[in-house]
Amino acid sequence: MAIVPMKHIEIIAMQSDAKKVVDFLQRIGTVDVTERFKDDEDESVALISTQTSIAQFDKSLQTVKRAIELIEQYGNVKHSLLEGFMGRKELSAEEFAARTDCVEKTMRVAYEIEALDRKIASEKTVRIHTENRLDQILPWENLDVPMQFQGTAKAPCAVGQLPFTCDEAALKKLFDEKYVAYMASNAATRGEDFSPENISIPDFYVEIISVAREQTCLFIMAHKAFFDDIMYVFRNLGFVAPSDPTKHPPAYRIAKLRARIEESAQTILDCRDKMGTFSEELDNLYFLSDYMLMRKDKYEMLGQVLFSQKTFILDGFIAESDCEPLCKELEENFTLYVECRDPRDDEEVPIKFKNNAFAAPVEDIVEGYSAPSKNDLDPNPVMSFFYYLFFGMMLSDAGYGLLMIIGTLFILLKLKPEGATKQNMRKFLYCGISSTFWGFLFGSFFGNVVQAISTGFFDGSVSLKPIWFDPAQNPMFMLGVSLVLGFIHLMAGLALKFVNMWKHGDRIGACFDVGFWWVGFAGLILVIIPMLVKTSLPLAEIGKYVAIAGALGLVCTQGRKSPTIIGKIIGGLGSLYNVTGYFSDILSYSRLMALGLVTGIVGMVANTIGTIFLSGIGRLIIFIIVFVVLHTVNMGISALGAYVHGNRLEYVEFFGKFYEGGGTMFHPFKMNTKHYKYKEDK
Amino acid sequence: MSWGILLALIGGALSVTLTCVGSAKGVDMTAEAAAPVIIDDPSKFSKLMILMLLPGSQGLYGLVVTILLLTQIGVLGGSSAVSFTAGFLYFLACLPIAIGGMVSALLQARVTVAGVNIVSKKDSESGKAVLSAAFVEFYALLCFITSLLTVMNISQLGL
Repeated sequence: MAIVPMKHIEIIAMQSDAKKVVDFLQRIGTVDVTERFKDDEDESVALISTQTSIAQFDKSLQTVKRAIELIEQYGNVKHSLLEGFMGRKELSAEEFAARTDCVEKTMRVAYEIEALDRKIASEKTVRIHTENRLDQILPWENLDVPMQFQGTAKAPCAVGQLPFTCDEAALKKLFDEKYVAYMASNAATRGEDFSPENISIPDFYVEIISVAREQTCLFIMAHKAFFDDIMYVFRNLGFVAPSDPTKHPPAYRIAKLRARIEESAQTILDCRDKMGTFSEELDNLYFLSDYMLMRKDKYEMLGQVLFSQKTFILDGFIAESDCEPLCKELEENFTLYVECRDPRDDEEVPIKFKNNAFAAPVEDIVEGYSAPSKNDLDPNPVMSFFYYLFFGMMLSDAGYGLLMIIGTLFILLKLKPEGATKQNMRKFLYCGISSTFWGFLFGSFFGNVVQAISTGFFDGSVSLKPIWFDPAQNPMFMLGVSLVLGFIHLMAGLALKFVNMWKHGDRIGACFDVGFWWVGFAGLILVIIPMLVKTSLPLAEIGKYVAIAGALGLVCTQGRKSPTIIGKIIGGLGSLYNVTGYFSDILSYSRLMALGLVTGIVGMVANTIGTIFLSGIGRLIIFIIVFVVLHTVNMGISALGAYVHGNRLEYVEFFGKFYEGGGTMFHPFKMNTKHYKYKEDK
Repeated sequence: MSWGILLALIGGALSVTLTCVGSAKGVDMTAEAAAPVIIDDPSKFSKLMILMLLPGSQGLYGLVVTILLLTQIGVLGGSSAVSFTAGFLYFLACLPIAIGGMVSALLQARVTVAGVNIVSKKDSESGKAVLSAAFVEFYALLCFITSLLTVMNISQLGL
């Protein structure tokens, strides 16, 4: 129930044993390897850079991951939602060795998949390119001569397009106008007279192959005597030859391009099918990705180790309890030198928590704030109790709580999750229990579903009575309860501060900094009690003096660190200003009431909406649908609110009283795998 | 029909409408900001969804105040006789959550949009983004409590 004491460990071993020692340490997973500062070492030892190897493993890891992704996608391997909660599979040492042996073979599979993936990518490019070419040639589909066709000796031909849309009649008209204008300008350059009537417009053959937006594809044939003139006029109209004319009739090329598109589509499908067929290799690939991850971790760790020519030196931290057995096993199995010592004061010792099953699940909430510094004590045991209590009060519905209990128990017992997932499930299990508890106290079970069903479908005589009171009927009382719980929470925080200061030898400080506040608060409570309960005792009178005594104590002591008299007085008076801090801290707990009420009332609204439409079986169907949808939404939003505001109350109000933070967590060098783990034979 | 109940209902309508407008806009801003992050890494959706939902709670607070108001003035289940003064007080009682709820939802949305940025670059720190947004939410809760307590207790004034 605390922060685990740490030992500093130093291992000096032969380089020839390096691989075995490192593998061993990774499997045991109890040492947090730290970089050793080289300042007091001579030059015969050095860090070796492992960046290249790490980058290489990273690349292989990406290949393997991509291969897994592709096989799962095309081999139709489905993962159920629940699988995400499951723990890693266990492998015995022999199985592990056997699988490690075929790692290279599996890597080849991964490369093969990568090659297929690349082929698919290149086929896709080819396809897009081919489709573009097809788009260009399609307007010419009806042309039955090659696009390069020059015509015969007497009747030359031209194939090309005009940059506008027109039909045959319009084209003819346009051509005639331009031709006349052309002839007129010709005559003018020759200095001849020109009369339009004398012009005979030559006959020629023009076929409109296709018309599209801003493009008309033409085939023109004329007698060679007029051909040049005709073409001159057409070019003035914007006639251009196609950029990529065909040797064969366009239909031939179109067929070829279509076949190519078909072919690449088929190739892509084949490649995907082929990827799918590797699905029996998936297990090996999972193992391979774990293996690569482990090697990467290993090399990252080796980057922090000092090497001399024959030996290496490894520094790290280890929990005191793990120290003894590890040293023994190391010395039995290898030729090396191990030294354990208590950490020096100037060393930054990583923090490892050890808590029981009740407090451990909230460790990640503490970590989310900041790991404790070495002066802090472990806030988890106290915090966990309040965390669950407040979460339940904010969710405050027995129905939702029971759902959480059932869900988390199912996952915990059936799927056997590990690590963070397991802790989270446990956390929500306790939160669910607390919600159920508060829900029954407040008489809230899926809002007021008991009463709603009874009124909607029967005579309305049954309802679930709250064991304590109904917050919606008596919100002031609920507010009071929230603030009182908040006050207790803050006092618990102060108590932890007291304990911590006491432990660190500052006993007088603990009495001054915490004790006087307690005296002051005790006085205030005595003043408040007569306002709520009638008593004959002069509590208020006593309370007044007690509170004043506490305040005086604070004024006298809080400036004690200041060197000057004036500083002491100002510091002391200033500390009283913290009263406003406590005031706003306590008011902050009003959120317990607000969020609790929101859950209950929205649940009630859901039930009301569900039971006002139709009657009989129709009402039942509507009720079920409305019930499921609205309660799911309400539960989701309320649980989110309870989680977030629960965290806030711990971080700001609670931690603010005693917690420093700023340490680092203990991250042992271990097998950080995703799919498989070692089965320790014991 | 009395003027009292009219004023009370206007208050109730404002409470739920303004908070819902604020919440809708807030959720919308966050969801829009989250979309490009989801394109890059769909696995971040769950974390982003929490951020998206945060500015949504103000609408719920507005709804709760309105529902309680409706039961108090007897529109929901009961007969209603609300004097002009009482109706006006109900109207005033709704203003804190209506205005405070709407504005805090919009401001909270700016924090969650910034939080989307945190998640996109360093999703291990998403808890801090969520917590920052909760700081803004507290002021909506204060407005809510004020409106709620006022609505619940006006009938005791005997106006």
